[in-house]
Amino acid sequence: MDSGKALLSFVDAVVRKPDTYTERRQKLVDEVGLAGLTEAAATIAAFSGLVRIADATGIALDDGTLEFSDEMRAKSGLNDFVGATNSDLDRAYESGGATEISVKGLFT
Amino acid sequence: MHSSICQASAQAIAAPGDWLDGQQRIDIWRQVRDSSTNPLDTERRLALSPAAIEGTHPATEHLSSVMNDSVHRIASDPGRLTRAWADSVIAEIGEEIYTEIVGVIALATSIDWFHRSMGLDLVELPDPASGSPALRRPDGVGDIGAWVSQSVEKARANVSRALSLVPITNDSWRVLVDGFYSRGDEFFDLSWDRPLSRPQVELVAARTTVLNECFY
Repeated sequence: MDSGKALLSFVDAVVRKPDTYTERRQKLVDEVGLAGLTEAAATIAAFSGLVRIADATGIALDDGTLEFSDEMRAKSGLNDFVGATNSDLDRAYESGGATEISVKGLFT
Repeated sequence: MHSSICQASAQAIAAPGDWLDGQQRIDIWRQVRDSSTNPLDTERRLALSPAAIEGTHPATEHLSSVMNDSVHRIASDPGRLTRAWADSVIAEIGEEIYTEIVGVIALATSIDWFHRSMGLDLVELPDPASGSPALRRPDGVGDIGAWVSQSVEKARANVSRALSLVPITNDSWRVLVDGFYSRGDEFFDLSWDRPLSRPQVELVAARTTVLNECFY
């Protein structure tokens, strides 16, 4: 992905490593421009809010997401996150219709 | 565009909400900011378990101690919140106020993190607007298995209805997330005409959530 490394590095700087922020911000601007920086900043902002909503209200993963992320979660260690206890990872889930609802209904 | 979204969201925080007035909502924002450097929050964040650290945040002029402490917990270490903790808070302040606190924290966090990410100074907290909160529990909410009541309408994904118990705050939040990320029907397209491509935006989103240890 174009500028993938610079984008990841920038997010790390904002969220975890503020002492590296200036350098990584400049590198990102060099690659994607000020408009790209703004888009990245808006995304970081939105998801910084979203994670607090998700974690503080204890919502469970939707059926479609559960189904398609099964292998990825197991391999990546996501199931070890504290928030995983809000979802019944062992239950049978519906597929097809639930997936469509999950994707289309996420932010509308 | 983003600046106007931030301004509108800031004014929404300052206005009377569902169960909290403008002064309380601005105070929540003030405490959210404090949580990034507060010693008790830092100690909790660094501990193996936040529950192992003794101490609670005191009441402020407009927030009870339980309310203020919950603001600090949610703002500073959301990935390690537990149902037992949330239930203990909800038992004291009610699920409606708790959910509104969550929503205001999300708005405040988003505004501040946008400015931090851009390398800009944080905005001054707006003056709270006068007026009373709506004090109205919406119809169509109930137990769907989450920590708080939410819309029982199944057509919506869980994240979309997480704040449905507090519709005024929820509306403000949806405006922000739509402006910063989803942009209405454009969300259904795999290809976006923006300064960053869709995959690039989703990469930033995924990294942000992983660093916050958000399972959902």
